Amino acid sequence: MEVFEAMKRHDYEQVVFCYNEAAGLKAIIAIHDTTLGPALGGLRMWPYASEDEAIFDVLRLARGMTYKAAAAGLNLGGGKAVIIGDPRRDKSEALFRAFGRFVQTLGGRYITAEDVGTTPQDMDYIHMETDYVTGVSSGHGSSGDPSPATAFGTWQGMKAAAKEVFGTESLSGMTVAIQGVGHVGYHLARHLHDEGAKLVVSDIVPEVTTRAAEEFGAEVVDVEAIYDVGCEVFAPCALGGVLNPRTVPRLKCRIVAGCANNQLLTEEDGDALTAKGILYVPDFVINAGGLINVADELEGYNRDRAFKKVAGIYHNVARVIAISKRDGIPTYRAADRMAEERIELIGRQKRVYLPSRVRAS
Amino acid sequence: MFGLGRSVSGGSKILREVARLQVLMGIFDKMAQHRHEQVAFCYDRVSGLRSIIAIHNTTLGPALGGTRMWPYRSEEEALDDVLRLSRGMTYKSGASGCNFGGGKAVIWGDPGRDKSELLFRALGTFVEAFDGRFITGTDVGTVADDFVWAKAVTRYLVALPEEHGGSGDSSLTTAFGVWHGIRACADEVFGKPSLRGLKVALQGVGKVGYRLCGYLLEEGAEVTVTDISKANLERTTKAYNVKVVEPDAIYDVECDIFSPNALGSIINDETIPRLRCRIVAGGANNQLAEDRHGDELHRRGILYAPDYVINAGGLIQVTEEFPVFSRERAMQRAAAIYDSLKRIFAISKRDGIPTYRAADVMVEERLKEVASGRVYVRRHGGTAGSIERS
Repeated sequence: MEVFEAMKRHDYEQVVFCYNEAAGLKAIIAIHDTTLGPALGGLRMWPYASEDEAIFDVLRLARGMTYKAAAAGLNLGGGKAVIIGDPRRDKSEALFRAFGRFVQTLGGRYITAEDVGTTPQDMDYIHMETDYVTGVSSGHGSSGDPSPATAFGTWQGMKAAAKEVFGTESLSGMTVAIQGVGHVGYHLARHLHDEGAKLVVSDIVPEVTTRAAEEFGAEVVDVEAIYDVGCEVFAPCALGGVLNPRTVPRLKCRIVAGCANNQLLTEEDGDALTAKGILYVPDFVINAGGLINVADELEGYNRDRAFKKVAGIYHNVARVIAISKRDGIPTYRAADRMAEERIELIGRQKRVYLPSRVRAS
Repeated sequence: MFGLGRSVSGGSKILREVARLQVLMGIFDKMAQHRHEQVAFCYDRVSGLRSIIAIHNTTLGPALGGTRMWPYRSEEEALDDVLRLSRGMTYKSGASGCNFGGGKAVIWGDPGRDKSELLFRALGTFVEAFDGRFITGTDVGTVADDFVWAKAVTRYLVALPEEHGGSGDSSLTTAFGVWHGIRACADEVFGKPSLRGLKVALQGVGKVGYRLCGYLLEEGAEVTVTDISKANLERTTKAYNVKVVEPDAIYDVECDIFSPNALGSIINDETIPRLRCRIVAGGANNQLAEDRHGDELHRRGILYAPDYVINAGGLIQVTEEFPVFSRERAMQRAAAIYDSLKRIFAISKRDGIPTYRAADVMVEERLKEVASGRVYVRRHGGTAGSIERS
């Protein structure tokens, strides 16, 4: 792979290859854009089949973080890291400490966090070598399990969509079909139930649907039947790629608003939703609660403050809808545009010289 | 100026094959080959900067190495170059007793066309981003003035123009170090360091060679010089009493010491049989066309002063820019090249290996010893701890 060609395509700042023989570490840290602040993004550990696959993945994910943080109103840039290795076999204290040391070499330009294949315990090892890590285990000033924050933000975003479509932000009396009620979906169901919404749920794990039925009076449907439920809101809270040519024609909702990552299989599926008159709330905007919550650790975690910031997802979603109408574009594009406009605008403010923020020399 | 390091040159079939295989290797494979710590690809759309910063080894301290600007034919070529050069800096720093690690940067671009204020500011930002882990300055394709642009955004620069805090021309320090290196060779071969009465064939009387010539004559050596530049020769013959020969005839001069101070790869299949000296010791970079030519000198009983050790004066000078430059300290440390070479000669005898390999062994032993330090300190003090300028 030509690294510079890939960097040029989406304007990456820096891609850092880190190697430590003794610890068996092969890690890549990608920093996409730091206009808004240090690049925050998780560390993924994965047995990539090839180096190119790892480079491709870390670049894609880092760029996603730029958009997510910018759309969330955070003062953070986008970055991501990957360790090439098998999380079940190749983990060790030395491995994560070696990685932590490399994070420290970037002087705070990249801040790492837990992601696929890594755990709070791994972050603890990283924390032994660097200040620039979030999501360490409890007792280290951690924000803890991010699911409640993500669910709270998703609920707020859903209300903004309801305001647009039904003229009221109250979801009371509406039917919400939730796909996946294990973690975030469960917390989301609680908020909706408390507000008086009717719930239809599905999950591949029977225990969690039973729990939702018992606690929230949710109607349980078959995994595949969730797409056919007549409802106001469909909330994908499990897999990625669930909005695709096979499912979109079946949807009987007015709004798609859930916390799953990468809900659209392709951009065409976003266009298909628009054509059907369904309001799609872009995933990375509505599911940013976990990111906002963990980012609060950088100021010394305060749960009240963090949740107040997460509530701002309501306004972020409203703004995406406004841009979509302003420019006549689908919401998934409007979300990108909102992020890009913010980066552009805030970037311009950097032109004003501040003597207190001493640069070099 | 303080760059280069050891030669890894092409030419033989084996090396060409190695070069071909390199193309098939991934970045981590290349890093693993010589245990590079870190390789950073840095890109800036606005200035068009495409730079790779390679950090080979920081056991001794922050990585130090120049920034080379070159119109590489491919990314692969740029990567291979920066990996090779950064590794060379680890050895050069390690051999000269510096508390710096090995690093290097390359800018993929045409120095004649692509330079701009923005380009070097962008580079400087990425240097600063390493927070002192990498320190750079001028190398092939860049000049000290380019880094004045970078100085707006980073502290971690050496060899800036003097009016900007740099230590200035380093050829005097380099020549001084080469002179002391030659004395170490004389001590080894003739039993005493004095060069009085010894015959020296000096190839190249440019910045370093000219000054070296002065030191040699002062000590009472008989010097024969050559240079492809008429101006260099005129300046030398005007100032000094030396014999002059044609550029190609320098290899045939009957002498005690052959001192290459110009081109690289001058120790090769063609020249070795012609040499009529006991010592090869000079300031040029990459003197051996291939490693095997170092073996051949060893076989013939000609003492070779490894180039990256004897010509480290320039590097030593810039390392003395921290925290405040001291010429006296720089000159003292350049004189200590004498001791480094004596140690290399001892290792060469101890292990029965050519000197160019003994130099590597000396560095590797030093790195291993330093890395074995296990006493906890809260924060490093001393010269190893701080590269902050006052």
